[in-house]
Amino acid sequence: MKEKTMNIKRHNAKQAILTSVLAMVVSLVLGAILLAICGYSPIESYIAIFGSSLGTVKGFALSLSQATPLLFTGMAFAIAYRVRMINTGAEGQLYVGAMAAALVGAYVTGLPSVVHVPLCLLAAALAGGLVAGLVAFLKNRFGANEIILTLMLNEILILFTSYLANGPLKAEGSGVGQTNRIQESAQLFRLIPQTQLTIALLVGIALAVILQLVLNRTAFGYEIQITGYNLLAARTAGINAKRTYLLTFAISGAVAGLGGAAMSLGVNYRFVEGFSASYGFGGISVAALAAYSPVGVILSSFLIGVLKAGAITVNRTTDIPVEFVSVIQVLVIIFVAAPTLIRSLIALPKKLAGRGKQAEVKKEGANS
Amino acid sequence: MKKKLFALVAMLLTLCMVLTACGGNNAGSGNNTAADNSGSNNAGGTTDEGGADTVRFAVIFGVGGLGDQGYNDEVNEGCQMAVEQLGVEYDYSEPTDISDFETMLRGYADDGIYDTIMVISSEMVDALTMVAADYPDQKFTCIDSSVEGFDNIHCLTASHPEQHFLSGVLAGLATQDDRFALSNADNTLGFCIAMDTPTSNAQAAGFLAGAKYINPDVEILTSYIGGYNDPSTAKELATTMYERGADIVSTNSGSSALGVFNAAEEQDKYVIGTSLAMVDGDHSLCTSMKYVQQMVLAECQALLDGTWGARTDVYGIKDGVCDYSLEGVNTEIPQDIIDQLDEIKALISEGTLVLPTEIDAVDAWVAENSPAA
Amino acid sequence: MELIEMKHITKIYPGTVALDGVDFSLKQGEILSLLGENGAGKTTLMKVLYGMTQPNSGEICYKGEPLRLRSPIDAINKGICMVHQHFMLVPAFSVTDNIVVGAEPHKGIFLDKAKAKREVQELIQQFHFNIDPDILVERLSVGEQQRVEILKALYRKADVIILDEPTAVLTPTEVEELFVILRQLRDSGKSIIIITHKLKETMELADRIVVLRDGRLVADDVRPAEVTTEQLSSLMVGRQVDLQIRRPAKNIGEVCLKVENLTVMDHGQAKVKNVSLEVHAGEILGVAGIEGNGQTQLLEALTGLCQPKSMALTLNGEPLSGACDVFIHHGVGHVPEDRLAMGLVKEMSIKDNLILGYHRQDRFCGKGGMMKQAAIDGYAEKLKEEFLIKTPSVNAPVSSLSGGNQQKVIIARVFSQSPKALIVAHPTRGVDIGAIEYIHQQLIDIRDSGAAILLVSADLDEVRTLSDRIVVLYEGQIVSESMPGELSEVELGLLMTGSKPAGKGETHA
Repeated sequence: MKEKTMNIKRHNAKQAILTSVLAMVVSLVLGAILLAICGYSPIESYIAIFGSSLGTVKGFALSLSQATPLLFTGMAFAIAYRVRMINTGAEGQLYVGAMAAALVGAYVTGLPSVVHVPLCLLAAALAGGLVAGLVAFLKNRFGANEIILTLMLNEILILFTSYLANGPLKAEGSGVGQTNRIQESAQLFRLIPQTQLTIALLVGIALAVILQLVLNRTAFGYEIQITGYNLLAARTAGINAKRTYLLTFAISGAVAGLGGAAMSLGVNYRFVEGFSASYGFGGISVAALAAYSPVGVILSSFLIGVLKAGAITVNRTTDIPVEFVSVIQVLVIIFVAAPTLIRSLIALPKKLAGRGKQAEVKKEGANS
Repeated sequence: MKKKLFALVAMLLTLCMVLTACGGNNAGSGNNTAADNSGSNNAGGTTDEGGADTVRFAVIFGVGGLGDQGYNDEVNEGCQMAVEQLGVEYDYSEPTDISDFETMLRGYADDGIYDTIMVISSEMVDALTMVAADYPDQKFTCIDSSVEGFDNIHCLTASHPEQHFLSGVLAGLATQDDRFALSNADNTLGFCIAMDTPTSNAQAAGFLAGAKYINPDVEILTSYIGGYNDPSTAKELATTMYERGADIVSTNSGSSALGVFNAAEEQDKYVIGTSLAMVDGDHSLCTSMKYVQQMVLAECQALLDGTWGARTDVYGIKDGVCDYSLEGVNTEIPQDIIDQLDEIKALISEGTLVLPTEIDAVDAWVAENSPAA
Repeated sequence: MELIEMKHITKIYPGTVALDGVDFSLKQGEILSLLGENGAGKTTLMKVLYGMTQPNSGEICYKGEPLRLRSPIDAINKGICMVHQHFMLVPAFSVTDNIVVGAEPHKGIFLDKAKAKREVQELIQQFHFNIDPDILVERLSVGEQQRVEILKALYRKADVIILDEPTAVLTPTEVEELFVILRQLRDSGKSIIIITHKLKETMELADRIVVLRDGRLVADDVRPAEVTTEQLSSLMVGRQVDLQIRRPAKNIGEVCLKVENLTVMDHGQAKVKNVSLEVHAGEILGVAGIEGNGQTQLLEALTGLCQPKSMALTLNGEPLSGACDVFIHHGVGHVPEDRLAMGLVKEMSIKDNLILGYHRQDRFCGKGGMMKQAAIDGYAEKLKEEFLIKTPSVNAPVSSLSGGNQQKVIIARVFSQSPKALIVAHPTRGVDIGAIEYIHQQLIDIRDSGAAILLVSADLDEVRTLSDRIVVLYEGQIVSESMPGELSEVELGLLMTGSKPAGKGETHA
């Protein structure tokens, strides 16, 4: 009941970072135990995972490029979560975004790169935004549940884009479902040559900063937070919750769509069916790791990117099963998702010490 | 309420991830052990294990990864054969998504210790062309796809018609032969074509040519499935073919083929597929094989012999890459038929018979070449 | 016999000492009233006893045995139950389900629904709780939900029941009924602690009174018979308080808020039936009535939260309709009935809450939609000083404030916008005497500055003290309109329950 002096925002951020770091440490320790049980040297394994992905330029670039799609989908989930909407549809939005960018990239010709790339990005954002906007509209209008809608829509969109890539828009003479290669002018500039690290990363980081500013500094962001925390209070305060839902979810979809564009324009240079390794769902854990802060997503997606890059290196250079890296990744997420578990782990040594003391006291009591 | 629902979804997703990770884990470790047993070195960076003259290559598998009991495992089998027979060494990677192709190719190219880096499917062609351009001094091998315009890529593909020709001959004989229990009186066969592409059409042409070569009056029903991943359409088409009198239906259509096999089982008729994993002992007549193992072996041989070159080589019956297989088939194939098949095999190996590659060209080809016509 | 003894309990929160070496004891079979202003440490002390928080030092003995409470589960297992001020019910479950949840009767692995229903039914009859055990909790009024909470504790057959502000939302009749129950329970050997701000009820019910002030024990063995309410309130506040002084309006102006033919439907039922009323500038119109007689719907219609079936509303002669933003924009201030659910966003800072609803105003928000942080900070600091909001920082979350200070945040937010009309609901529910006094003063001040105020309150004393005119709402209709003093408390109470006092008061159809 008494006033707490700590500033909430700073307090929450501190708490979240602490939990995430501890989750990381605990999962690495558990991973090491698993590795040791299976007969691999934990130290060597970790050197393989982190040595190249953090220690070499190319490895570091790989970490960043692996983080890029997750940065977008993570932001998409985080921003929607701020109005307590669950965007499980990032996967589908990613696909339509990738398709839209690939089409504008392939069929619009004769533009300089500075015009063509933004045009492709715009198309991707629009496509993702429209799809997500439709979901929010249905939620507002008919009270439909956005989780179910987006999950269903994922299937539809993935199959539809796959149909396009195998049917009318299939690249001539291709053995796999993919669209024509995009024009050179639509290809994203590679920050480090011969890596998949493109300016998409910078776009993503800028977007994260902008979204964070929108949340913290604008009236719209204020309304997002109010609506998310307490819908009734938002309505009582005259905030148009439906409009907030619609706009926020459309933004979320647009961001996911941009993630698709990053893949189409920066990595695959076309739309390829099945290109996403579940980036959309990966975004959920990335957002959770970041405590749903857009800027936090930069860090959490980087962390997962490092692990994914480590997995690729491990795959190529050692005989440790790649899946160990996935296991560590999943452990991190589980521990972050269960903060109580982490907190009780923190409290454990204290508790043990306390019990020891009590026992001593009792003994002394018995002696005297 | 929403929070709870979300928690539930999140839990399920996490659980799925854990489960897939665990499942994959077993498969992964199993296959690594296999590689270890065969003496292959997969612990990277250690160049000094073999002599300088040992051929050492890297291979990047498809996204399905090892343990698919299909294409990836067959390629790996070829690699191990090369290890045993030719004493080469190889390293491999299993990408988890298509964006990994480029990264892994670059990784191997950067290592600079491989005589060639092998990609094994058309999915990887984009990544291959991108990387090959950046590493002009590194040799690359492209199995089962063809890439033009590079002087550091060697492509090895199988002849599409030859893969299906021999099983076409067998089908053409079996449909009119009382010794085959499931054959009917109609002189009719069927072939479900995956898609209207040159590749699929050439495969069908091989089957058609084979059947008509030995049995010029046979009627062969053909339809397009429209995709490699559409078993339900495939099943419908195959069922129609069986109902119209076909007693043997063949196909080369990835997992769509499952639908054809399903129809064969329901109709109790013969089926010819392209994957040993799919063989249905009671209904399979044979399997149209493309021994990718032999291509891997041939590539290693080329490296050892110094005959490696930036070109596209087409492998067929002569090289033991294309053949029919009776593995897992319960139906007894009479010896006289096998002898007949061996004769025709020899004709093709000699180069006496050159197969058509288009469906439209089959009838003219039959008229010209068939001894029965 | 001492059932519970708490010795030298000290609890320190960052920045404050909530409890400072408090000794507390509870005897078997007594009703103990715990008094004190909000922030005096009552709730913290009870949280310690209920295992919700661990004291920094001190010990608890239960029936002479030292007791370690790590969580409320431990407390419940020992027979210590708490009925919270903020309900912990599942709205989508039935009354029965809510009561038995966590202590469900089983038949094998299955829930024995029949038994649960029977037991709950018996309980309801035994204590004369007028509640349908099958109805969903979301359909119940605040008052009825409170009764379910009490039933929940009774169902667990607790030896010690702690009630936090149990009467805040009950009607006078319900309060009487509750007291009967509590006395019954005491006579059957149970011990009861009630936390309350209502001195009258304390005097009537308690066997013993314990007073806390600023985290210290001020008095722990006060017999109600030996003190007056004035003495009690000065013990609590440390000075004299009187809430019963009327300060009538001096200059009532023109009709400001005029409502005609208001009908509100809810779940197919007319909750407000054809109500018409007028509020003049500079006047407080009090709406008395038992909870659930249409107050909620009346408030929602007058603030834009719901669209009524029919209503002609004018503000200073101009017609007004639309959603909440229209009402707020046109100067209709709203102090909502449930401050945490409707009025505040408890996760956000005091500062952010002080502009809620007004955040799009030019002084807080620039043209591009950017918030003017400096202006907001300054504004918040100003309001904090002006409205005496007790907090070390306006950046602290609103949930860190006491109930009274939370209410002050809402009052500050709404009143500082110089509203033309004010819709005020239960402004002092669950806040301490000091804050009540302050909020009442604010209401009088803003009335005197010319605002038209519609005051809905479950506290009849409050309505009688503040209003310049009183209407009684019964089953969605206005059944009486009177001037203050015209009708006695008893007569108003009768009107509220639907019976007409003989020959008195003007009644409307």
